[in-house]
Amino acid sequence: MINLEKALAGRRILIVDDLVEARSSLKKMATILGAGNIDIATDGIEAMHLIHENDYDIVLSDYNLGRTKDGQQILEEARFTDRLRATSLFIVVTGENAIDMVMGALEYDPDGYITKPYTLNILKERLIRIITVKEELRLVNEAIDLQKYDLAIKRCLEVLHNSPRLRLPASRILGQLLLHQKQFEPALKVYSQLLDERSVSWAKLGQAICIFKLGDSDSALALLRRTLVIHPLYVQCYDWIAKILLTLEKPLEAQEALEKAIAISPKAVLRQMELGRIAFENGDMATAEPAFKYAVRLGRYSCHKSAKNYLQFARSAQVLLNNPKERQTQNKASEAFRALEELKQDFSEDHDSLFEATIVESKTHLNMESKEDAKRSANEAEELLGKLECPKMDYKLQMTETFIETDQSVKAQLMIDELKELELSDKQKEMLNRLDHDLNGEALIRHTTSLNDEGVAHYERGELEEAIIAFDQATRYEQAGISVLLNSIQAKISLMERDSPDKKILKDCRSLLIRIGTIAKDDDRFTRYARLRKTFDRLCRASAA
Amino acid sequence: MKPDSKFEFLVAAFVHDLKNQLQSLSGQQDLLVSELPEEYLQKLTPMLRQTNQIKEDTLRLVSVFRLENKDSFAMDDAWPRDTASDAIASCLIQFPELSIDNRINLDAQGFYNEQLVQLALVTLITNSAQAGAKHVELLCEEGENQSLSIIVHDDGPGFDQDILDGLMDTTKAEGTGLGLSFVEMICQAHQGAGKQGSLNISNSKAGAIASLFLP
Repeated sequence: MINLEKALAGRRILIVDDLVEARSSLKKMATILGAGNIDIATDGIEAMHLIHENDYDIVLSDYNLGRTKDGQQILEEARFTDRLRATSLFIVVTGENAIDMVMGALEYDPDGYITKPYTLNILKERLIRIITVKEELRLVNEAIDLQKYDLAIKRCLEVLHNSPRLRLPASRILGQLLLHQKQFEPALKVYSQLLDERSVSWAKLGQAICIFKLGDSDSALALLRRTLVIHPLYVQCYDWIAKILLTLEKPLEAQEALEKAIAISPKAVLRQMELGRIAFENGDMATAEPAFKYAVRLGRYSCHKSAKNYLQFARSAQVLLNNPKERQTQNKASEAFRALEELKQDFSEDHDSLFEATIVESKTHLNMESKEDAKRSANEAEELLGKLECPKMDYKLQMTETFIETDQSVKAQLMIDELKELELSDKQKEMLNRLDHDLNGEALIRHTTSLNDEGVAHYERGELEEAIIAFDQATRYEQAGISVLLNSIQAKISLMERDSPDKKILKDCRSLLIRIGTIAKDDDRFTRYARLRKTFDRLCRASAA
Repeated sequence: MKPDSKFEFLVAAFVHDLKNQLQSLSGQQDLLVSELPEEYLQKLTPMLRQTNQIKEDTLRLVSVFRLENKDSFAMDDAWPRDTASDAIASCLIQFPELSIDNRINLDAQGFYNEQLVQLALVTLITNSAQAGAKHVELLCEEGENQSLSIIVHDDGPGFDQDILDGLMDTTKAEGTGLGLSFVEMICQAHQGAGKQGSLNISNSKAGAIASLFLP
């Protein structure tokens, strides 16, 4: 047994609790027990800040820490970022109701826990036991800190052989190490042998993971579901059920499993991201949107902060912008814009994400029926795309789609022509064909109509040259209708009547007349066609004379 | 606890809050005890006793609720000497005249839910004190596969024959009189290596013996 006073004296300790009485009480108790170098954090964010600044030997953290991270997440993040060595202690202080979650953690498990309410004597006894066990496993943890995993496995096996009393903690580490080294058969043996004698929740989860990795998904699922019957709050089982169901191509069931996990433990960033991702793939934006929103909020002060969360949140939100006049829709759009703005500020060096954010911004404006803003964002995205050294094909496809949506058909056509010359995957080819079809369909008709309107406006003001330019642009597209072709002919004829017949212009008129073909006498446009045709013939004769 | 029950979530939230308050109260009392001169401590005694009683009752209430609900209890490596020591500390607040001897080996180790077993021990020691015992001994026998028997042996009048025969739960006038049933429920919540925990009671020449078998 260690001497607690000596063990605590030289160590740097962090106490995390959101309740002022609880943390001062714990600090006083720790001081009475011999601790001298104690820092205090009042929530998960402050705790992580301190953990990044300092090297702690012991962290004593409450599990429930109010609105931000919980104790388990502090542990995960501290170990994930290598800010807390394997040789350092992380002890969770909790009420009995959270023990299932604390003890079930397979990958990032605390070294011990202290249940509330505790007395000074209980704290002392627990710390002595926890630190003693940790000391006995020191060689194993030192090997882990050096990332010498095979050595750590060897030392773990020695501990198991020499100290049967350390079977539980040593098996736990050994199982993790074997999983890390992808040695699934031996890991399964470790968990199964332990479960023969002890019903330990984390060993059941470990066993299920090994069975899944060894190829038997159905048995793994059955085991996880049985474990959940006994431990309904064991959220990690739901995570693995979802993972397995995805490999079995059952994304809807996978989503359902993750939704159950989120209902129990909503503060895990990675779990919210995964739910968002699966729901997005499933087309369930009503689930994806809040999941990504949560991921953005939770990730804001964590190592899991990612531009992708912001993008996916805005993408899923913009799909839900059904009625721009409604306050709810307007609020949602504002949230999406805020998220994109935050992304642009916080990831200003990440040019790929900036481009994607601007594309999403354009689409969001479009859904809110702000065409001008959508076009402005599209042009901003175009600029950003131009600055990318080697833009992905997907970006070019996204840009093309945005050009089409913002009625910039010429740019879209140029991009499509460029993409047609490039190597594309089957999925990309499919998208390109769809865009091509869109451009030459509805979007193009909209575009030619707009050019035609422009031409008519010039014509009415007597600006014949400008009118001809606009009509020429409109008639470049096959989709230009008979009225547009007639307008173009009329503008050209008017110009020749004002100035003089011109062979090139007459040739253009002839081509347009050929494109029109014959018009039935009962067609509304026949009279106009006949009149223009007659004038055209006269101008031809005049030109020949 | 089932995750889809709002009622149970509410109960859990209230209990969580209650435990935090008790934790804080307990910390402040410890501080007072360590700082106040000896002559004032006696005046604190009734308050310490009542706070301790509220704490024990709260834990008992939560445990009964969960035992009745057939919830699973987290089991882990645990050390009976520590568990007994915590139970003794709590009982000495209620029964300062009682002599309690913790004769459990420092290295003895088991696999059980520490809070439940501590409550069981507090219940058994309380029974002994209320039955008139002056001295209680706690012992431990280690069996195969980390199984344990924790024994509470007192110098009181021993169990009535009707209780030993399982005809009655209690002959006491005070308390709920259901202490033994509660301890039995706690033992039975422990399972391992194909065996279930149990409570065995008997009388010795010198008093009552209650033995908690934890597989």
